[in-house]
Amino acid sequence: MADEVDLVETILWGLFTAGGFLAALIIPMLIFITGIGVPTGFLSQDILSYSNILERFGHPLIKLPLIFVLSLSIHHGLHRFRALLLELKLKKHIFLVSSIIYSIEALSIVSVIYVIIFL
Amino acid sequence: MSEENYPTFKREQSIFWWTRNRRYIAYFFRELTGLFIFIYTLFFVYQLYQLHFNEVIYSAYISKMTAPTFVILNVVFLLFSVYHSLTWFQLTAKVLPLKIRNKPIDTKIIGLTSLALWGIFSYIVFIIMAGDINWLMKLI
Repeated sequence: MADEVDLVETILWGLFTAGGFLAALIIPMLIFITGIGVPTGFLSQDILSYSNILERFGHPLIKLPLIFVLSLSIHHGLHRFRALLLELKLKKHIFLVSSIIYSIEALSIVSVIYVIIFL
Repeated sequence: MSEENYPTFKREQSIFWWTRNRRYIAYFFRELTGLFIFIYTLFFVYQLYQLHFNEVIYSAYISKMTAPTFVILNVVFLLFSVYHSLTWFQLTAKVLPLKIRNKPIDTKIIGLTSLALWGIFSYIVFIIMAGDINWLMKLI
């Protein structure tokens, strides 16, 4: 049926939207603190110290939302990048592009879960 | 008449079609924000991965990150991610026309609310990383 909605596609775009919101609300501040504020000395070095980060990000109440935020941001980013690649010129190779992108995504999300669960 | 008698001319689309005008360029960079968000996320996870070893290895990694190259890279990440936030909120206001009592809410109000929400979430992230959250951590 032509107008049948593809369930997988719907779920992927739904997660994309969720990731878009989380990334928009959370990632800029995270980049500012970890990549600019502390390294340039604008913020205290203690924020990124071993004990501080381990204590905070090692706590289950922070771990779980963090896995959620990072995984959805990864999905958002790669799903969007895949759409852009298809739009640029690669529509003919949709299967290949999707396989590569979603494999990278799966690997990244497994890494996020592994790294954060075992903190 | 069959198509064979009238071969259709297919124009080859260049991979750089998006450079043709400003709107396309803006579109291209807006969609590219996804890639930068992904790369930053990997950097961040790699940083957390250093915690799996010991304090010396982790601290060495953190001091490596103070190099100008990495700071500049993070500035690029930040620019793309702020561009993502701004365009995302703008887009939401357009694709999610909210209504109260059948009257559409002004897109400006939705936009401003999103910005306020962004501020609140950024504050929460800051508090989680640098503020006093002992009360939260005592919950479990």
